[in-house]
Amino acid sequence: MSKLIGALIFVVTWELVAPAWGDPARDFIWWKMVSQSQSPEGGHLISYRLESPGATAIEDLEVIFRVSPYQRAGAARSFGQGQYFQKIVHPGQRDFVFHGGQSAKIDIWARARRGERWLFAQTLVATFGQSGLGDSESSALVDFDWAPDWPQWRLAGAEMFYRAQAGQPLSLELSVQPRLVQVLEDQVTMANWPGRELGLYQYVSSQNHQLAQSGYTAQKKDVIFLASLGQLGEATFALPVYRAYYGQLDYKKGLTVMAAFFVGTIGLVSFHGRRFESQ
Amino acid sequence: MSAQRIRQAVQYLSFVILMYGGRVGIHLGSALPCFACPFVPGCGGFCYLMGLQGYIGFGLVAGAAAGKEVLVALGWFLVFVVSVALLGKVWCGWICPFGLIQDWLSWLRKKLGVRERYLSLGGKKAIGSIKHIFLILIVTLPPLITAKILPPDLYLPFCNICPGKLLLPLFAGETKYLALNLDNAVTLWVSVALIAVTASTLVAAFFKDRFFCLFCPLLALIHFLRPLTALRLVKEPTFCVGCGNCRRHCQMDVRVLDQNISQAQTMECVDCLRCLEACPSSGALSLKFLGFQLFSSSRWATSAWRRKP
Repeated sequence: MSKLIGALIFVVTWELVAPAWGDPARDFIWWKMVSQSQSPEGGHLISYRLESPGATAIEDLEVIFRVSPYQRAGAARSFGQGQYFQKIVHPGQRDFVFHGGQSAKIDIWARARRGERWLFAQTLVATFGQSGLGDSESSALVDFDWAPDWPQWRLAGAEMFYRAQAGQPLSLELSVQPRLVQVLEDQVTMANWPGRELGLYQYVSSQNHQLAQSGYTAQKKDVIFLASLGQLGEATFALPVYRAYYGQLDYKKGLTVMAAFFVGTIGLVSFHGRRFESQ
Repeated sequence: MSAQRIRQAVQYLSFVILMYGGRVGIHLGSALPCFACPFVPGCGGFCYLMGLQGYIGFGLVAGAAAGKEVLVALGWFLVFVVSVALLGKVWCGWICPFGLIQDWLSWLRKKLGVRERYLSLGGKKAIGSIKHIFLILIVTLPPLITAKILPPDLYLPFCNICPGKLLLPLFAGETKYLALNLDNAVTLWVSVALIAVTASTLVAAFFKDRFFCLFCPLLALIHFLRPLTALRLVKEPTFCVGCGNCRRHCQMDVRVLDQNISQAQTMECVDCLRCLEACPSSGALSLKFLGFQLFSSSRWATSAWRRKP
Protein backbone atom coordinates (compact mmCIF):
# COMPACT_ATOMS: atom_id res chain seq x y z
CA MET A 1 0.00 0.00 0.00
CA SER A 2 2.81 2.41 0.84
CA LYS A 3 4.39 1.70 -2.53
CA LEU A 4 1.10 2.47 -4.20
CA ILE A 5 0.75 5.70 -2.30
CA GLY A 6 4.32 6.65 -3.06
CA ALA A 7 3.81 5.92 -6.73
CA LEU A 8 0.61 7.94 -6.73
CA ILE A 9 2.35 10.93 -5.22
CA PHE A 10 5.19 10.62 -7.71
CA VAL A 11 2.89 10.36 -10.71
CA VAL A 12 0.70 13.26 -9.64
CA THR A 13 3.69 15.46 -8.95
CA TRP A 14 5.42 14.49 -12.17
CA GLU A 15 2.33 15.09 -14.26
CA LEU A 16 1.97 18.51 -12.76
CA VAL A 17 5.60 19.46 -12.88
CA ALA A 18 6.96 17.88 -16.05
CA PRO A 19 5.05 20.03 -18.56
CA ALA A 20 6.44 23.12 -16.89
CA TRP A 21 10.01 21.88 -16.87
CA GLY A 22 12.29 24.77 -17.51
CA ASP A 23 15.69 25.01 -18.96
CA PRO A 24 17.94 23.09 -16.57
CA ALA A 25 20.94 25.24 -17.46
CA ARG A 26 21.91 27.85 -14.96
CA ASP A 27 20.77 31.00 -16.67
CA PHE A 28 22.79 33.75 -15.21
CA ILE A 29 25.77 35.78 -16.21
CA TRP A 30 28.49 37.27 -14.13
CA TRP A 31 31.45 39.57 -14.26
CA LYS A 32 34.99 38.31 -14.17
CA MET A 33 37.94 40.61 -13.77
CA VAL A 34 40.57 40.04 -16.44
CA SER A 35 43.24 42.54 -15.61
CA GLN A 36 44.01 45.81 -13.95
CA SER A 37 46.73 48.17 -15.06
CA GLN A 38 47.79 51.78 -15.12
CA SER A 39 46.54 53.93 -17.89
CA PRO A 40 49.08 55.86 -19.94
CA GLU A 41 46.75 58.85 -19.63
CA GLY A 42 46.69 58.60 -15.87
CA GLY A 43 44.41 56.64 -13.61
CA HIS A 44 43.76 52.95 -13.87
CA LEU A 45 42.24 50.56 -16.31
CA ILE A 46 40.24 47.54 -15.26
CA SER A 47 39.02 45.05 -17.82
CA TYR A 48 36.09 42.79 -17.14
CA ARG A 49 34.55 40.02 -19.11
CA LEU A 50 30.95 38.97 -18.98
CA GLU A 51 30.70 35.23 -18.59
CA SER A 52 27.89 32.74 -18.67
CA PRO A 53 27.90 28.95 -18.43
CA GLY A 54 27.75 27.16 -21.77
CA ALA A 55 26.25 30.21 -23.41
CA THR A 56 25.50 30.48 -27.04
CA ALA A 57 24.98 33.90 -28.48
CA ILE A 58 23.70 36.58 -26.23
CA GLU A 59 21.55 38.64 -28.46
CA ASP A 60 21.32 41.93 -26.68
CA LEU A 61 23.55 43.07 -23.95
CA GLU A 62 22.72 46.09 -21.90
CA VAL A 63 25.31 47.35 -19.52
CA ILE A 64 24.67 50.14 -17.11
CA PHE A 65 27.36 51.98 -15.26
CA ARG A 66 27.14 54.27 -12.36
CA VAL A 67 29.82 56.09 -10.51
CA SER A 68 29.44 55.63 -6.82
CA PRO A 69 29.36 59.04 -5.24
CA TYR A 70 30.34 57.86 -1.83
CA GLN A 71 34.02 57.37 -2.18
CA ARG A 72 35.41 60.73 -3.05
CA ALA A 73 34.51 64.04 -1.54
CA GLY A 74 35.06 65.69 -4.87
CA ALA A 75 32.56 63.48 -6.62
CA ALA A 76 29.73 65.96 -6.25
CA ARG A 77 31.84 68.84 -7.47
CA SER A 78 33.41 67.04 -10.37
CA PHE A 79 30.26 65.27 -11.29
CA GLY A 80 29.23 66.56 -14.62
CA GLN A 81 28.11 65.66 -18.02
CA GLY A 82 28.95 62.24 -19.25
CA GLN A 83 29.68 60.62 -15.97
CA TYR A 84 26.59 58.49 -15.83
CA PHE A 85 25.07 56.80 -18.73
CA GLN A 86 23.56 53.65 -20.05
CA LYS A 87 25.15 51.85 -22.89
CA ILE A 88 23.86 49.19 -25.23
CA VAL A 89 26.52 47.29 -27.05
CA HIS A 90 26.54 45.13 -30.09
CA PRO A 91 25.70 41.49 -29.77
CA GLY A 92 28.60 39.35 -28.78
CA GLN A 93 30.62 41.99 -26.99
CA ARG A 94 31.70 40.61 -23.66
CA ASP A 95 34.83 42.52 -22.78
CA PHE A 96 34.80 45.96 -21.26
CA VAL A 97 37.55 48.27 -20.17
CA PHE A 98 36.93 50.88 -17.53
CA HIS A 99 39.13 53.85 -16.80
CA GLY A 100 39.06 55.60 -13.51
CA GLY A 101 40.99 57.55 -10.98
CA GLN A 102 42.43 56.31 -7.73
CA SER A 103 39.84 54.88 -5.36
CA ALA A 104 36.94 55.66 -7.63
CA LYS A 105 34.23 53.11 -7.46
CA ILE A 106 31.81 52.20 -10.14
CA ASP A 107 28.67 50.10 -10.09
CA ILE A 108 28.21 47.99 -13.16
CA TRP A 109 25.04 46.17 -13.84
CA ALA A 110 24.31 44.16 -16.93
CA ARG A 111 21.52 42.21 -18.42
CA ALA A 112 21.52 40.14 -21.54
CA ARG A 113 18.80 38.70 -23.66
CA ARG A 114 18.89 35.19 -25.00
CA GLY A 115 15.81 34.35 -27.03
CA GLU A 116 12.90 35.31 -24.91
CA ARG A 117 14.76 35.28 -21.66
CA TRP A 118 16.63 38.01 -19.92
CA LEU A 119 19.63 37.14 -17.86
CA PHE A 120 20.98 39.38 -15.16
CA ALA A 121 24.52 39.72 -14.03
CA GLN A 122 25.34 40.44 -10.49
CA THR A 123 25.91 44.01 -9.68
CA LEU A 124 29.59 44.61 -9.73
CA VAL A 125 31.36 47.22 -7.70
CA ALA A 126 34.78 47.89 -9.12
CA THR A 127 37.31 49.94 -7.24
CA PHE A 128 40.20 51.43 -9.08
CA GLY A 129 43.71 51.41 -7.76
CA GLN A 130 43.18 48.85 -5.06
CA SER A 131 45.92 46.54 -6.22
CA GLY A 132 48.48 49.10 -5.20
CA LEU A 133 49.38 50.34 -8.62
CA GLY A 134 50.13 53.73 -7.32
CA ASP A 135 48.11 56.85 -6.91
CA SER A 136 47.82 58.71 -10.13
CA GLU A 137 45.60 61.72 -9.74
CA SER A 138 42.92 62.12 -12.28
CA SER A 139 40.09 64.55 -12.35
CA ALA A 140 37.95 62.26 -14.45
CA LEU A 141 36.25 59.67 -12.36
CA VAL A 142 35.17 57.43 -15.15
CA ASP A 143 35.75 57.83 -18.82
CA PHE A 144 33.81 55.81 -21.40
CA ASP A 145 32.84 55.88 -24.99
CA TRP A 146 29.17 56.36 -25.21
CA ALA A 147 26.84 55.46 -27.96
CA PRO A 148 25.65 58.45 -29.99
CA ASP A 149 22.14 57.04 -30.18
CA TRP A 150 21.62 58.07 -26.57
CA PRO A 151 21.23 61.83 -26.82
CA GLN A 152 20.23 62.29 -23.23
CA TRP A 153 22.54 62.00 -20.32
CA ARG A 154 21.23 59.25 -18.18
CA LEU A 155 21.64 58.54 -14.56
CA ALA A 156 21.43 54.82 -14.69
CA GLY A 157 20.97 52.22 -12.07
CA ALA A 158 18.46 49.55 -11.34
CA GLU A 159 18.09 49.63 -7.61
CA MET A 160 15.65 46.90 -7.07
CA PHE A 161 14.09 43.91 -8.69
CA TYR A 162 10.84 42.99 -7.17
CA ARG A 163 8.89 39.84 -7.58
CA ALA A 164 5.21 40.61 -7.44
CA GLN A 165 1.92 38.93 -8.15
CA ALA A 166 -0.32 39.94 -11.01
CA GLY A 167 -3.00 42.28 -9.78
CA GLN A 168 -1.12 43.23 -6.64
CA PRO A 169 -0.40 46.92 -6.22
CA LEU A 170 3.26 47.76 -6.14
CA SER A 171 4.80 50.41 -3.98
CA LEU A 172 8.01 51.58 -5.42
CA GLU A 173 10.75 53.74 -4.05
CA LEU A 174 13.07 55.88 -5.99
CA SER A 175 16.41 56.33 -4.30
CA VAL A 176 18.91 58.78 -5.64
CA GLN A 177 21.64 60.77 -4.04
CA PRO A 178 19.92 64.09 -3.43
CA ARG A 179 23.14 66.03 -3.61
CA LEU A 180 23.61 65.05 -7.17
CA VAL A 181 20.24 65.02 -8.77
CA GLN A 182 17.14 67.03 -8.30
CA VAL A 183 14.09 65.15 -9.43
CA LEU A 184 11.84 67.26 -11.61
CA GLU A 185 9.01 64.93 -12.37
CA ASP A 186 8.05 61.29 -12.38
CA GLN A 187 6.98 59.52 -15.45
CA VAL A 188 5.75 55.96 -15.56
CA THR A 189 6.23 54.01 -18.72
CA MET A 190 4.99 50.51 -19.28
CA ALA A 191 6.69 48.04 -21.46
CA ASN A 192 5.82 44.44 -22.15
CA TRP A 193 8.80 42.16 -22.02
CA PRO A 194 8.17 38.74 -23.46
CA GLY A 195 9.15 35.62 -21.71
CA ARG A 196 10.24 35.04 -18.18
CA GLU A 197 12.84 36.96 -16.33
CA LEU A 198 15.52 35.73 -14.03
CA GLY A 199 17.20 37.54 -11.27
CA LEU A 200 16.51 37.18 -7.60
CA TYR A 201 18.72 39.73 -5.99
CA GLN A 202 17.36 42.78 -4.33
CA TYR A 203 19.30 45.83 -3.42
CA VAL A 204 18.05 48.78 -1.47
CA SER A 205 20.40 51.51 -0.60
CA SER A 206 19.73 52.73 2.88
CA GLN A 207 22.01 55.69 2.47
CA ASN A 208 19.98 57.34 -0.18
CA HIS A 209 17.19 59.68 0.43
CA GLN A 210 13.76 58.55 -0.58
CA LEU A 211 12.59 60.95 -3.19
CA ALA A 212 9.53 59.46 -4.76
CA GLN A 213 7.05 56.76 -4.22
CA SER A 214 4.37 55.54 -6.52
CA GLY A 215 1.99 52.67 -6.84
CA TYR A 216 0.77 50.73 -9.81
CA THR A 217 -1.43 47.70 -10.18
CA ALA A 218 0.08 45.67 -12.95
CA GLN A 219 -1.21 42.88 -15.10
CA LYS A 220 0.29 39.50 -15.60
CA LYS A 221 3.65 39.51 -17.38
CA ASP A 222 3.85 43.28 -17.40
CA VAL A 223 7.08 44.90 -16.59
CA ILE A 224 7.03 48.38 -15.24
CA PHE A 225 9.72 50.67 -16.39
CA LEU A 226 10.00 53.74 -14.26
CA ALA A 227 11.68 56.82 -15.53
CA SER A 228 12.11 60.08 -13.72
CA LEU A 229 13.78 63.21 -14.84
CA GLY A 230 16.46 64.85 -12.85
CA GLN A 231 18.67 67.82 -13.31
CA LEU A 232 22.07 68.81 -12.17
CA GLY A 233 23.09 72.22 -13.31
CA GLU A 234 22.24 72.42 -16.96
CA ALA A 235 22.33 68.70 -17.59
CA THR A 236 19.06 66.79 -17.68
CA PHE A 237 18.87 63.18 -16.71
CA ALA A 238 16.45 60.40 -17.39
CA LEU A 239 16.63 57.75 -14.75
CA PRO A 240 15.47 54.21 -15.26
CA VAL A 241 15.36 53.05 -11.69
CA TYR A 242 12.92 50.27 -11.33
CA ARG A 243 11.87 47.22 -13.15
CA ALA A 244 9.24 44.82 -11.84
CA TYR A 245 8.60 41.49 -13.35
CA TYR A 246 6.09 38.90 -12.47
CA GLY A 247 7.21 35.50 -11.48
CA GLN A 248 5.42 32.55 -12.91
CA LEU A 249 3.55 31.18 -9.95
CA ASP A 250 1.02 28.46 -10.36
CA TYR A 251 -1.23 28.17 -7.36
CA LYS A 252 -3.41 25.40 -8.72
CA LYS A 253 -0.48 23.09 -9.22
CA GLY A 254 1.03 24.04 -5.90
CA LEU A 255 -2.15 23.25 -4.02
CA THR A 256 -2.54 20.01 -5.94
CA VAL A 257 0.96 18.93 -4.95
CA MET A 258 0.15 19.85 -1.38
CA ALA A 259 -3.07 17.85 -1.45
CA ALA A 260 -1.24 14.88 -2.93
CA PHE A 261 1.30 14.88 -0.13
CA PHE A 262 -1.41 15.41 2.49
CA VAL A 263 -3.30 12.37 1.29
CA GLY A 264 -0.15 10.36 0.82
CA THR A 265 1.15 11.06 4.29
CA ILE A 266 -2.22 10.35 5.90
CA GLY A 267 -2.29 7.09 4.02
CA LEU A 268 1.22 6.20 5.12
CA VAL A 269 0.49 6.95 8.75
CA SER A 270 -2.81 5.11 8.69
CA PHE A 271 -1.66 1.97 6.93
CA HIS A 272 1.96 1.71 7.96
CA GLY A 273 2.26 3.94 11.00
CA ARG A 274 2.22 0.96 13.37
CA ARG A 275 5.50 -0.23 11.94
CA PHE A 276 7.22 2.81 13.48
CA GLU A 277 5.25 2.89 16.67
CA SER A 278 6.41 1.70 20.03
CA GLN A 279 4.55 -1.22 21.50
CA MET B 1 -1.97 30.06 37.82
CA SER B 2 -0.53 26.87 36.37
CA ALA B 3 2.65 26.75 34.37
CA GLN B 4 0.68 25.65 31.32
CA ARG B 5 -1.55 28.69 31.44
CA ILE B 6 1.45 30.96 31.72
CA ARG B 7 3.13 29.06 28.92
CA GLN B 8 0.10 29.44 26.67
CA ALA B 9 -0.05 33.15 27.35
CA VAL B 10 3.63 33.50 26.51
CA GLN B 11 3.17 31.46 23.35
CA TYR B 12 0.36 33.66 22.07
CA LEU B 13 2.14 36.86 22.99
CA SER B 14 5.31 35.66 21.29
CA PHE B 15 3.35 34.66 18.22
CA VAL B 16 1.86 38.12 17.90
CA ILE B 17 5.20 39.86 18.45
CA LEU B 18 7.22 37.64 16.14
CA MET B 19 4.62 37.59 13.39
CA TYR B 20 3.42 41.18 13.43
CA GLY B 21 5.90 43.13 15.55
CA GLY B 22 7.67 44.63 12.55
CA ARG B 23 4.50 46.49 11.64
CA VAL B 24 4.76 48.50 14.84
CA GLY B 25 8.50 48.90 14.78
CA ILE B 26 9.45 45.90 16.90
CA HIS B 27 12.41 43.91 15.64
CA LEU B 28 14.21 41.54 17.93
CA GLY B 29 17.19 41.00 15.69
CA SER B 30 18.50 38.35 13.33
CA ALA B 31 19.64 35.75 15.84
CA LEU B 32 16.46 34.44 17.40
CA PRO B 33 16.68 30.79 18.50
CA CYS B 34 13.20 30.01 17.20
CA PHE B 35 11.34 29.94 13.89
CA ALA B 36 10.68 33.63 13.52
CA CYS B 37 10.41 33.58 9.77
CA PRO B 38 11.97 36.47 7.81
CA PHE B 39 9.62 35.68 4.92
CA VAL B 40 6.70 36.94 6.96
CA PRO B 41 5.98 40.51 5.92
CA GLY B 42 6.25 42.73 8.96
CA CYS B 43 7.75 40.09 11.22
CA GLY B 44 9.28 40.98 14.54
CA GLY B 45 12.62 39.26 14.14
CA PHE B 46 14.57 36.71 12.15
CA CYS B 47 15.40 33.12 12.86
CA TYR B 48 19.12 32.55 13.37
CA LEU B 49 19.25 29.81 10.75
CA MET B 50 18.64 32.32 8.00
CA GLY B 51 21.48 34.48 9.19
CA LEU B 52 23.73 31.47 9.68
CA GLN B 53 23.28 30.42 6.07
CA GLY B 54 23.85 33.95 4.87
CA TYR B 55 26.96 34.55 6.94
CA ILE B 56 28.53 31.23 6.03
CA GLY B 57 27.70 31.54 2.38
CA PHE B 58 28.19 35.18 1.67
CA GLY B 59 29.91 36.67 4.61
CA LEU B 60 32.81 34.30 4.93
CA VAL B 61 33.25 33.78 1.20
CA ALA B 62 32.92 37.44 0.29
CA GLY B 63 36.54 37.92 -0.52
CA ALA B 64 37.60 41.47 0.05
CA ALA B 65 34.70 42.21 2.34
CA ALA B 66 35.27 39.10 4.45
CA GLY B 67 36.92 40.96 7.29
CA LYS B 68 33.89 43.02 8.16
CA GLU B 69 31.44 40.21 7.46
CA VAL B 70 33.26 37.85 9.81
CA LEU B 71 32.83 40.35 12.62
CA VAL B 72 29.15 40.75 11.83
CA ALA B 73 28.70 36.98 11.77
CA LEU B 74 30.52 36.59 15.08
CA GLY B 75 28.45 39.36 16.58
CA TRP B 76 25.19 37.69 15.71
CA PHE B 77 26.50 34.35 16.88
CA LEU B 78 27.25 35.88 20.26
CA VAL B 79 23.75 37.31 20.41
CA PHE B 80 22.41 33.83 19.64
CA VAL B 81 24.56 32.26 22.35
CA VAL B 82 23.44 34.82 24.92
CA SER B 83 19.78 34.31 23.96
CA VAL B 84 20.13 30.57 24.37
CA ALA B 85 22.08 30.95 27.59
CA LEU B 86 19.30 33.03 29.09
CA LEU B 87 16.25 31.04 28.10
CA GLY B 88 17.49 27.70 26.80
CA LYS B 89 14.76 25.42 25.53
CA VAL B 90 12.06 27.88 26.56
CA TRP B 91 12.61 29.29 23.08
CA CYS B 92 11.27 26.02 21.73
CA GLY B 93 8.46 25.26 24.10
CA TRP B 94 7.22 28.73 24.95
CA ILE B 95 8.17 31.12 22.16
CA CYS B 96 8.57 29.38 18.79
CA PRO B 97 5.63 30.25 16.49
CA PHE B 98 5.91 27.01 14.57
CA GLY B 99 5.79 25.12 17.84
CA LEU B 100 2.51 26.87 18.63
CA ILE B 101 1.09 25.80 15.27
CA GLN B 102 2.03 22.22 16.07
CA ASP B 103 0.35 22.56 19.47
CA TRP B 104 -2.80 23.72 17.67
CA LEU B 105 -2.70 20.60 15.53
CA SER B 106 -2.33 18.45 18.65
CA TRP B 107 -5.32 20.19 20.22
CA LEU B 108 -7.31 19.53 17.06
CA ARG B 109 -6.34 15.88 17.13
CA LYS B 110 -7.55 15.53 20.70
CA LYS B 111 -10.78 17.30 19.90
CA LEU B 112 -11.41 14.90 17.05
CA GLY B 113 -10.64 11.96 19.30
CA VAL B 114 -7.81 10.67 17.13
CA ARG B 115 -5.22 8.52 18.80
CA GLU B 116 -1.73 9.96 19.07
CA ARG B 117 1.05 7.93 17.48
CA TYR B 118 4.11 7.21 19.56
CA LEU B 119 7.32 6.50 17.75
CA SER B 120 9.54 3.58 18.61
CA LEU B 121 13.07 4.21 19.78
CA GLY B 122 14.41 3.25 16.39
CA GLY B 123 11.89 5.46 14.65
CA LYS B 124 12.77 8.43 16.84
CA LYS B 125 16.47 7.92 16.24
CA ALA B 126 15.98 7.68 12.50
CA ILE B 127 13.90 10.82 12.38
CA GLY B 128 16.18 12.60 14.83
CA SER B 129 19.17 12.06 12.59
CA ILE B 130 17.56 14.34 10.03
CA LYS B 131 18.48 17.38 12.11
CA HIS B 132 22.15 16.54 11.84
CA ILE B 133 21.76 16.27 8.09
CA PHE B 134 20.07 19.67 8.08
CA LEU B 135 22.91 21.22 10.04
CA ILE B 136 25.50 19.78 7.68
CA LEU B 137 23.61 21.13 4.68
CA ILE B 138 23.20 24.53 6.32
CA VAL B 139 26.95 24.77 6.74
CA THR B 140 28.13 23.24 3.46
CA LEU B 141 25.70 24.41 0.81
CA PRO B 142 25.88 28.22 1.10
CA PRO B 143 29.58 28.47 0.20
CA LEU B 144 28.94 26.27 -2.84
CA ILE B 145 26.17 28.60 -3.91
CA THR B 146 28.33 31.65 -3.42
CA ALA B 147 31.09 30.02 -5.45
CA LYS B 148 28.55 29.37 -8.24
CA ILE B 149 29.02 25.63 -8.02
CA LEU B 150 25.35 25.37 -7.15
CA PRO B 151 22.61 27.50 -8.69
CA PRO B 152 21.85 30.83 -7.00
CA ASP B 153 18.20 29.86 -6.78
CA LEU B 154 19.22 27.54 -3.95
CA TYR B 155 20.16 30.54 -1.81
CA LEU B 156 19.19 29.88 1.83
CA PRO B 157 18.90 26.14 1.22
CA PHE B 158 17.29 25.24 4.54
CA CYS B 159 14.75 28.04 4.25
CA ASN B 160 13.77 26.60 0.87
CA ILE B 161 12.39 23.49 2.55
CA CYS B 162 11.44 24.83 5.96
CA PRO B 163 7.70 24.41 6.63
CA GLY B 164 7.78 27.69 8.50
CA LYS B 165 8.47 29.52 5.25
CA LEU B 166 5.20 28.34 3.77
CA LEU B 167 3.01 28.34 6.87
CA LEU B 168 3.96 31.40 8.86
CA PRO B 169 3.59 33.93 6.02
CA LEU B 170 0.02 32.69 5.58
CA PHE B 171 -0.81 34.35 8.89
CA ALA B 172 0.37 37.64 7.44
CA GLY B 173 -1.51 37.25 4.20
CA GLU B 174 1.40 36.06 2.09
CA THR B 175 0.34 33.08 0.01
CA LYS B 176 2.96 32.91 -2.73
CA TYR B 177 4.81 29.98 -1.22
CA LEU B 178 1.74 27.81 -1.80
CA ALA B 179 2.41 28.08 -5.52
CA LEU B 180 4.83 26.26 -7.76
CA ASN B 181 7.50 28.64 -9.02
CA LEU B 182 7.85 28.01 -12.73
CA ASP B 183 10.69 30.42 -13.45
CA ASN B 184 13.19 27.67 -14.07
CA ALA B 185 13.87 24.05 -13.17
CA VAL B 186 15.61 24.84 -9.90
CA THR B 187 12.90 27.12 -8.55
CA LEU B 188 10.30 24.62 -9.67
CA TRP B 189 11.75 21.70 -7.77
CA VAL B 190 12.58 23.83 -4.76
CA SER B 191 8.96 24.91 -4.54
CA VAL B 192 7.80 21.31 -4.93
CA ALA B 193 10.14 20.26 -2.13
CA LEU B 194 8.88 23.04 0.13
CA ILE B 195 5.25 22.13 -0.42
CA ALA B 196 5.93 18.43 -0.01
CA VAL B 197 7.87 18.84 3.24
CA THR B 198 5.26 21.21 4.64
CA ALA B 199 2.32 18.97 3.80
CA SER B 200 4.01 15.89 5.23
CA THR B 201 5.10 17.73 8.37
CA LEU B 202 1.62 19.09 9.00
CA VAL B 203 0.05 15.67 8.75
CA ALA B 204 2.75 14.08 10.90
CA ALA B 205 2.42 16.88 13.48
CA PHE B 206 -1.31 16.17 13.63
CA PHE B 207 -0.67 12.55 14.59
CA LYS B 208 2.41 13.12 16.74
CA ASP B 209 2.89 16.00 19.16
CA ARG B 210 5.58 18.41 18.03
CA PHE B 211 6.72 16.13 15.22
CA PHE B 212 8.97 18.71 13.58
CA CYS B 213 10.81 19.34 16.84
CA LEU B 214 12.16 15.79 16.63
CA PHE B 215 14.42 16.90 13.79
CA CYS B 216 14.54 20.64 14.23
CA PRO B 217 18.10 21.89 13.62
CA LEU B 218 17.56 24.86 15.95
CA LEU B 219 16.67 22.54 18.80
CA ALA B 220 19.92 20.70 18.13
CA LEU B 221 21.90 23.94 18.20
CA ILE B 222 20.23 24.99 21.45
CA HIS B 223 20.95 21.60 22.96
CA PHE B 224 24.63 21.87 22.02
CA LEU B 225 24.78 25.04 24.09
CA ARG B 226 23.08 23.30 27.00
CA PRO B 227 26.05 23.68 29.41
CA LEU B 228 25.66 27.45 29.16
CA THR B 229 21.94 27.68 29.80
CA ALA B 230 20.76 29.36 32.95
CA LEU B 231 17.25 27.91 32.72
CA ARG B 232 17.16 24.19 33.44
CA LEU B 233 14.64 21.48 34.08
CA VAL B 234 16.01 19.60 37.05
CA LYS B 235 14.91 16.28 38.46
CA GLU B 236 15.45 15.27 42.06
CA PRO B 237 15.56 11.45 41.84
CA THR B 238 15.07 10.95 45.56
CA PHE B 239 11.60 12.52 45.38
CA CYS B 240 10.56 10.52 42.30
CA VAL B 241 7.94 7.85 43.10
CA GLY B 242 8.22 6.19 39.68
CA CYS B 243 4.60 6.70 38.67
CA GLY B 244 5.50 7.45 35.03
CA ASN B 245 3.07 10.37 34.80
CA CYS B 246 5.84 12.60 33.47
CA ARG B 247 6.57 10.34 30.58
CA ARG B 248 2.92 9.82 29.73
CA HIS B 249 2.31 13.55 29.53
CA CYS B 250 5.57 14.43 27.78
CA GLN B 251 4.96 15.97 24.35
CA MET B 252 8.30 14.79 23.09
CA ASP B 253 8.06 11.33 24.67
CA VAL B 254 11.30 11.73 26.58
CA ARG B 255 11.78 8.25 27.96
CA VAL B 256 14.37 8.95 30.60
CA LEU B 257 12.03 11.12 32.59
CA ASP B 258 10.75 8.29 34.75
CA GLN B 259 14.20 6.84 35.31
CA ASN B 260 16.28 7.40 38.37
CA ILE B 261 18.56 10.11 36.98
CA SER B 262 18.78 13.84 37.44
CA GLN B 263 19.15 14.63 33.76
CA ALA B 264 15.67 15.54 32.57
CA GLN B 265 16.51 17.87 29.74
CA THR B 266 17.45 15.54 26.93
CA MET B 267 17.92 16.56 23.31
CA GLU B 268 14.18 16.26 22.58
CA CYS B 269 12.97 18.22 25.58
CA VAL B 270 11.32 21.52 24.73
CA ASP B 271 10.66 22.66 28.30
CA CYS B 272 6.91 22.47 27.90
CA LEU B 273 6.70 21.59 31.64
CA ARG B 274 3.88 19.11 31.17
CA CYS B 275 5.95 16.59 33.12
CA LEU B 276 6.31 19.05 35.96
CA GLU B 277 2.60 19.68 36.16
CA ALA B 278 1.79 15.98 35.90
CA CYS B 279 4.23 14.96 38.60
CA PRO B 280 2.47 14.12 41.91
CA SER B 281 5.60 14.34 44.01
CA SER B 282 6.57 17.70 45.45
CA GLY B 283 9.98 18.87 44.33
CA ALA B 284 10.70 15.94 42.03
CA LEU B 285 10.80 18.17 38.96
CA SER B 286 11.53 21.86 38.96
CA LEU B 287 12.45 24.61 36.53
CA LYS B 288 15.33 26.66 37.82
CA PHE B 289 17.02 29.81 36.65
CA LEU B 290 20.59 29.95 37.93
CA GLY B 291 19.50 27.75 40.80
CA PHE B 292 16.48 29.89 41.63
CA GLN B 293 13.30 27.82 41.46
CA LEU B 294 10.61 29.16 39.14
CA PHE B 295 8.24 26.20 38.93
CA SER B 296 8.12 22.97 40.82
CA SER B 297 6.00 19.85 40.88
CA SER B 298 3.59 19.65 43.75
CA ARG B 299 1.40 16.93 45.19
CA TRP B 300 -1.21 19.56 45.97
CA ALA B 301 -1.61 20.89 42.42
CA THR B 302 -4.92 20.00 40.78
CA SER B 303 -3.91 20.68 37.22
CA ALA B 304 -6.06 19.04 34.56
CA TRP B 305 -2.87 17.76 32.98
CA ARG B 306 -2.60 15.21 35.68
CA ARG B 307 -5.94 13.62 34.99
CA LYS B 308 -5.22 12.30 31.57
CA PRO B 309 -2.55 12.79 28.97
